Amino acid sequence: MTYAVETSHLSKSIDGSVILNDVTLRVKQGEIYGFLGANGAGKTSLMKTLYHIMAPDAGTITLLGERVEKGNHSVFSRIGSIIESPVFYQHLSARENLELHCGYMGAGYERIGEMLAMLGLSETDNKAVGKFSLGMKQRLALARAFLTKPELLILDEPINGLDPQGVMEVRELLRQINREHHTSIFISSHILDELSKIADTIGIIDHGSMLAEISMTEIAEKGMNLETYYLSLLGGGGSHAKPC
Amino acid sequence: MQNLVKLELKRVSLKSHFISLLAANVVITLLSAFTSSLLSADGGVAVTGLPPAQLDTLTLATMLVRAMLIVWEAVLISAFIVEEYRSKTINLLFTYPVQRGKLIAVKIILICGIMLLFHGLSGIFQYACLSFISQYFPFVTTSPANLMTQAITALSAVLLGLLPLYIGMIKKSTIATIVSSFALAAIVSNSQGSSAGLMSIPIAAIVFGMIGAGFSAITVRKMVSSDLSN
Repeated sequence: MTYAVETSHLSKSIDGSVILNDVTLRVKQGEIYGFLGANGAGKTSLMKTLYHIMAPDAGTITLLGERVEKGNHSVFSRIGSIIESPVFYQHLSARENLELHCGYMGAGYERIGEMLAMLGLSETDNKAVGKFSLGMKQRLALARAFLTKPELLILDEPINGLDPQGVMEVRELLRQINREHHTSIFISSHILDELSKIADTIGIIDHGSMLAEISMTEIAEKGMNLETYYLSLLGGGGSHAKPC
Repeated sequence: MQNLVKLELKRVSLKSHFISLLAANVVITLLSAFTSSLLSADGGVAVTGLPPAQLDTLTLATMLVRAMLIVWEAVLISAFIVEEYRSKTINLLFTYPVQRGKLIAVKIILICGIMLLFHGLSGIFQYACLSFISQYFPFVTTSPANLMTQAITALSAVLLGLLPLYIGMIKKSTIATIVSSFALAAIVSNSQGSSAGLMSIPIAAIVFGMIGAGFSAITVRKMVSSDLSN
């Protein structure tokens, strides 16, 4: 079976501190995979490692069936992402930022207007991004991630900074993209409630190690919800930082 | 490669740089002419009482232009490279289906290309303006330019101008990049080491150029291979 994301025994240390420890996970094609962990658990580090923004010390990464190695980045044209926080060229407008994105991804500009409208940014497309609120930047980052109709979305905490209405809209948008385009979505969050509403499968990471990879159906079959399952894995929370 | 250059130029507009270059050259022309007027001895002691000028006006202007362009190059390095790291947009660039080495190489080539163009345009401007002014003001003097020497010096100055990239990338600081370029310009483009600055000596210029190229190669290698962990 070809997975959208497949990591095998991935490890990474920085200055002697273990960031990822033997992480193996598999995101099936067409599913929404929620990647859950407390702040500092290793979610962003794993996402950066997928792109070789941080090269792994050991292990392998395969995205959409293509092995990601140093110098082999062709598969990135089939992926949309938000990594860490939404970054933009602040002096450029929303439209100009999206045009740059299309240029680097080798895509045309024809969907820019549609995406800005879909994310409620039509009125602001000529305003410098530096004047945007965090919520608007987050929406623009989502527009950029979806712009080229990617086969895989890698989204690192995409609802940070959004108001409740925005959170609901993004959730619905992700469902729609997944349903209509069969886009695989690998989404990280520390918000249990949000992931439980959207994900088909949950991967839980803590202190750089994978604790579990389980479908929401299996959690339900155990008579638990995501919160009680998460707490049971951590032995009641104990010394670990707990997600919201 | 051509597409990447276009994208870089879309991000950093050069229009204002060309206007500023023209303004800076006008200032340097006037400053050089004014300095020559103060230091011209006309067979006796200069009006300022200072020793008579050893330099013709064009050589003085060329030295000032070289110093200015070393600082200018640091500004471009900041805009095209250091700022990408400072604002973390480099994380975004590295998610594109383009090799890191190619992304960085395009930036370096573009900076060098722009600076070579600026050296060329400034050289032509100074020569044309000072030659014209010298017809009316005898204290403004020019000497015939050796094009080969000028080309070697310009290329070396451009390569040396990459040295602030090494310093700026240590802390990903645009301020460090630009301040280091001032120090560099002061060292290689003053008339203490030789009559028209160390960069006017072809051998010295080549050595300086190689130093700049070497340090920039080390920096590029680091940028291509190192992790962006924060």
